[in-house]
Amino acid sequence: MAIDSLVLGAGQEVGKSCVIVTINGKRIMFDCGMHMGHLDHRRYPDFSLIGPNFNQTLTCIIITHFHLDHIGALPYFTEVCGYSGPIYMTYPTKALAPLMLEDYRKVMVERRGEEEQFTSEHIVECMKKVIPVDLKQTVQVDKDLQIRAYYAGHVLGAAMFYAKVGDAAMVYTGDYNMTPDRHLGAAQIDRLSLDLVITESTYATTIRDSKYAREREFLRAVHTCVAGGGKVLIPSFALGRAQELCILLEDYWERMNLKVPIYFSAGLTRQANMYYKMLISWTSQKIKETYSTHNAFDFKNVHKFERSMIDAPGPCVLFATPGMISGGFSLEVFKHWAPSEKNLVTMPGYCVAGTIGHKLMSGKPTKIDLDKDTRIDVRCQIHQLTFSPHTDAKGIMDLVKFLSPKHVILVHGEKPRMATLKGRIQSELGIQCYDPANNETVSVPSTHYATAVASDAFVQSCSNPNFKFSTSGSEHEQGSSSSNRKSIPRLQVSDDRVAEGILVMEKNKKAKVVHQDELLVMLEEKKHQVKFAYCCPAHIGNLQENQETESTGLPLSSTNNDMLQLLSAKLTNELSEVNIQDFGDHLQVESFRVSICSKEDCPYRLSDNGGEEHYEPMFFCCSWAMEDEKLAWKVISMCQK
Amino acid sequence: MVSEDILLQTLSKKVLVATKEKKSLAQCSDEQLEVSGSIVAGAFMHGLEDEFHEVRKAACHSLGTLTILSSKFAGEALNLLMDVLNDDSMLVRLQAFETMHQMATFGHLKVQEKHMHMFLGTLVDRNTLTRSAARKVLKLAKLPDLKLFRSTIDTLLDNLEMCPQDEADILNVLFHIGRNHGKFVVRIIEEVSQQMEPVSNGKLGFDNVRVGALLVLAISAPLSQERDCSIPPSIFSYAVTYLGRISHALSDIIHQEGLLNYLSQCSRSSGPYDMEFDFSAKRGGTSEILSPTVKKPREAGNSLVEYSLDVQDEVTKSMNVVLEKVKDIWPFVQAGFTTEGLRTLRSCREELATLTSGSIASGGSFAFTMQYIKIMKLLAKAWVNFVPSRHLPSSGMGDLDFVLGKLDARLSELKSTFIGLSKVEELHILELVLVTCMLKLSKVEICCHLGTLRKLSCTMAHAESLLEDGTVEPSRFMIEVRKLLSEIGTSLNGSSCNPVLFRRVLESFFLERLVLCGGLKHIKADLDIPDNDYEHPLCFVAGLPVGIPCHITLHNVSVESRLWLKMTANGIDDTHFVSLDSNLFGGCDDHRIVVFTAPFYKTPKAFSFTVSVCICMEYLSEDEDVSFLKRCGPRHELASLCREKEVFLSMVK
Repeated sequence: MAIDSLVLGAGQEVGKSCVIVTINGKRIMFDCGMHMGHLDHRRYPDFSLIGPNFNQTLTCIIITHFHLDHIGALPYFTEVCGYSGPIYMTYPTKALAPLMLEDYRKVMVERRGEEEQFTSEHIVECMKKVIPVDLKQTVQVDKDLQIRAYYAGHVLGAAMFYAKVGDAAMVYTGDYNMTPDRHLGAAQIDRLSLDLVITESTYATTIRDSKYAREREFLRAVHTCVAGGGKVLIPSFALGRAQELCILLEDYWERMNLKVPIYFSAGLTRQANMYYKMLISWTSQKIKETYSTHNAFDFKNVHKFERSMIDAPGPCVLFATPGMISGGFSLEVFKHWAPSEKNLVTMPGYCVAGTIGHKLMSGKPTKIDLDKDTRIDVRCQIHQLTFSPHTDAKGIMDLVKFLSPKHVILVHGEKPRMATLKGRIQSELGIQCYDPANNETVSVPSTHYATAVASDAFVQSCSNPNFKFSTSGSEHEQGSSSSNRKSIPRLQVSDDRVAEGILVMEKNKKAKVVHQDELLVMLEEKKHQVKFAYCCPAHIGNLQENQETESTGLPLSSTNNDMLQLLSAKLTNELSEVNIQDFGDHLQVESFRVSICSKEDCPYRLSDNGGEEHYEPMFFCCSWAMEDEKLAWKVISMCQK
Repeated sequence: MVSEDILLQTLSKKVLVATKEKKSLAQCSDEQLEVSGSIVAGAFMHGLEDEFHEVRKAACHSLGTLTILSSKFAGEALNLLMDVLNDDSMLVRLQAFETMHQMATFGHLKVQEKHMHMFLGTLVDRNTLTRSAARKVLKLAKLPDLKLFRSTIDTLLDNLEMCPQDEADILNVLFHIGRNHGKFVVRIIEEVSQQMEPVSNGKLGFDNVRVGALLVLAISAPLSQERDCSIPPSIFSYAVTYLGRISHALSDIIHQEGLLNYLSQCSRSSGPYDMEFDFSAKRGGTSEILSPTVKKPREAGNSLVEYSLDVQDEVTKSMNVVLEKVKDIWPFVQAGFTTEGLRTLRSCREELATLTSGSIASGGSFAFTMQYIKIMKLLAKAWVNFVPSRHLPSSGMGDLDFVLGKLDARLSELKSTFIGLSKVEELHILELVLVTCMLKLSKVEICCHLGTLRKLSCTMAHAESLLEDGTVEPSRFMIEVRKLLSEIGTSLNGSSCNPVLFRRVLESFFLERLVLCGGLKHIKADLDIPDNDYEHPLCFVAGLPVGIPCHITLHNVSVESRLWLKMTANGIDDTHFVSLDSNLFGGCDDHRIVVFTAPFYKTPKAFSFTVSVCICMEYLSEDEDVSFLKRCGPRHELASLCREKEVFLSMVK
């Protein structure tokens, strides 16, 4: 049994997340994203690797959250490629995904004039196939496949997904955040028994600072700017970051009693705020606690921005889309505000190369050529935001350590860093880790539980008590003062039950655990025992001399019985801890048996090489079982002396 | 105890080099608890970033305890704490301030420039509690350079302009800061002295609060331990014209006359100043204030400050630290955050409970503080019912009645079972008694109107007698009560009184900080009935008296005091009093022992019964309860000196 993971996207890169996992015959597609950096066929995962008929080969699609690199290819895959099976995502993702996809389609088609990959109708049709799930709700996809969503932080509605088929179980994390921010909580998951975890690794090596430090720097920059009468432009993505920063500013404004207006450029952001207000149960603890009195997304100080206000005097703060100043309203405002050194532009943590955002972040340009005719003087201040909804290296390690799966696959990260993290996971946590590239398949063994029937005798033997008695007298109590106090050794009884049995697997029958006594009967076999034998020469003189030195006063005799008694006495003397039984013609110590050998050609006798004998040697014929080997050799060595 | 490296590791998510090496070291030393760096890495950081504010608050709190151990750790922790001031929960922010205050108390608060934006921001916060918490920290802060000092002063002045209601507190803070940074004050004053000069028409621009604030800053300089802090003498003369406002602000430090004395002395010399700041004007008063606990050894050597350190007794000192915290609950209670206040009290109690070692727990101040906290708890509970603008809690009136009754009893006990109370301490207790009376009076539903009114006037009379010599200023509340009483007149015609009147007076009550001067003695007794328990009862014959053998130890009970043995047969509700003759007791005054057989007369016709025995002391109260006169026994109110002891009796077979 094995779990095969075919990485179609986000293998050693960030973008177009898509992993096909086959567990016990079920094939699940986790995420169906697109790559923002490519415009050719590399934009989408290579679906042809899945096989000829998607509907037959794929059991379901699971989407973790609404970011385009996790959902962007979904309408294309369902409507253009023709997948019609079930698609699972959380409620907020289902609500917000169409907004994202439609926005993206518009930008592609209307602004860049590209050929459209999918139409608005496609999006609508695609969303009809979506089955929404709630957190911690176990969904039975079919007879064998169970899935369950866990809170992941990151963005509104982001989830980690647990999938289980038979005994094999795995978790696909999607993107997640282990530290809460102003509007979302931290990722939460149960301790599960897992064969595989597929985790993102955006910050595979970075350990981030406290979130407070990020907030402080941002607030300080904004406050200083508006205090100096400047305007602050916050180009931002409509969902997620904008809300977080806005809550932060709103709170600060409230406390500092600031009156400077905050604006949202009309459009997506306002629409998104409406959704946030409705999806309170997916936000952070604080917002959940307080929303009955005040909905945190009801921004008191936030107003709608009109185009005519761009050149209005006085300080203000403006949130405008898109986030990377790649065009649209944020670019328009930027053109007006950039030339004044009083103003401030905050940049998101990551900008795609080629956008103005990217130019501003890489060095501080004084002039930016927009196109052939337009050149912008950039004198304003630039503040780079370090907010990020991804967990850092410590968070990844913490999660992996918490889940302790048997195998880990890293996706959604940069190749060299992933390699470092992979090394850490293997060396520090001792968990097998992989970082496959795109279109590679990783195969890991999966758990399979076999049920075994227990025989009655075995069950009975398990329930038998296994008493052990031991006395414990505390030694130090018997000191000087205990003359009048008798120390009574306390009897300790321990009952460590040990279940010993033998697992028997027969052809075409269920596995069975039996007691060891039953085994022979069951197999219809006889018991075999291995015995050792050795005919040991002994020098009578030796024994007699010993006898004399011990001066026991026994008369010298060479009869066999006397010799045995002699030996018995000697053994009793030397081996006080064992029980020596005398049966007349032989002695028995445990399984060791010794008798006088009268045969001349005993098969167990070794050729005596001591040529110069003074006495006729005596021979003790010994035999013993395996377990008493040590004891046997001890006795033999004594006989020889 | 873990090493400093491990402590530092808890503040950083990155595994530090030091702890990596430490790990192998720790393994060598066998007994030590092995803590590896990677396990504790960033423990506090995670705690402070937690989603639940309870966790974040607890993290701040425990940081405070640990910062005492290491100044390096404190420095690192401060970097995080300053950012916590931006937390989205007010409770967490206030706890961060509390922790900083604790750090400052132990001299571990090292403010850096990068902290200032966040910190000064809180000085102009909209919330009163935040502002005052920030200023409290500032009083103790040591600022490293002039630039920070200047920005701090500027922000305080902004604060003053924005929130004129904070004036007294701000002036007080300025005075404290000035004393801590004499040199900086001189520099600042040189720059702004122009603004402080009188304008052309000869009038000072003193209605300008800003100038007033700068004056306070200026006059604090000579008290700095930094020498040669010369301030133009004229400034002191200007300050005199502003005397009322300044002395109001500094009322916890110096009396008005003392201040005037000081100002006039300073205005005559041009420095260096050798004169003493005459704190003695308020000696025995609330003047221990220069927070004895706070100015720890780092300021030793300065005669002026040491002066306030006359509370030498270690126990009293630590009690004062606790009492300081108790005072802080008042804004919460007033604002209706009762649970918050009660939580603080509970933590104070817990703190006290940790001090049970040896002599501390047996000391009078310890017992006093314990009692005081209990009283505060009751007061806070009672006050909820009087918080305006909030709905009445669901608990009925009977509950309030009960709480007030208990409060009353506790207060009388506190008043009567401690000897060596200073005038201020006594007045503080009397003020609380007055508050209790007023609380009772302002609720029409509570009966005993007349009795309470009588108690009120008696207590006030007592307070007046203490105030008579004028060494202690009456609080605003007392003045209001005095006015009210004279309005009501001597008629004591309770029915004519309007509860609204009492309620208005109550609004002027503000819990002052109680500072113990030490030397308190707790009057108490130990009672032991030997060889008596459930299985070994004393024998009696119904109808005949039975003797109960009592082993009594008295602590700090004077020979003159009248002691009673109070015996109540349980279930029958019949109380007997047996007088204890103090002369019977052997030993010296503060520790006397006697074996005494107390007769119990009215043995019931029962197979067995129990008697609760308790030692009580009679004390003179303001309102003598006439009901006691009806039979033999104590004539005045009683305060119990020990816990009730159950005595088991059974009939002779």
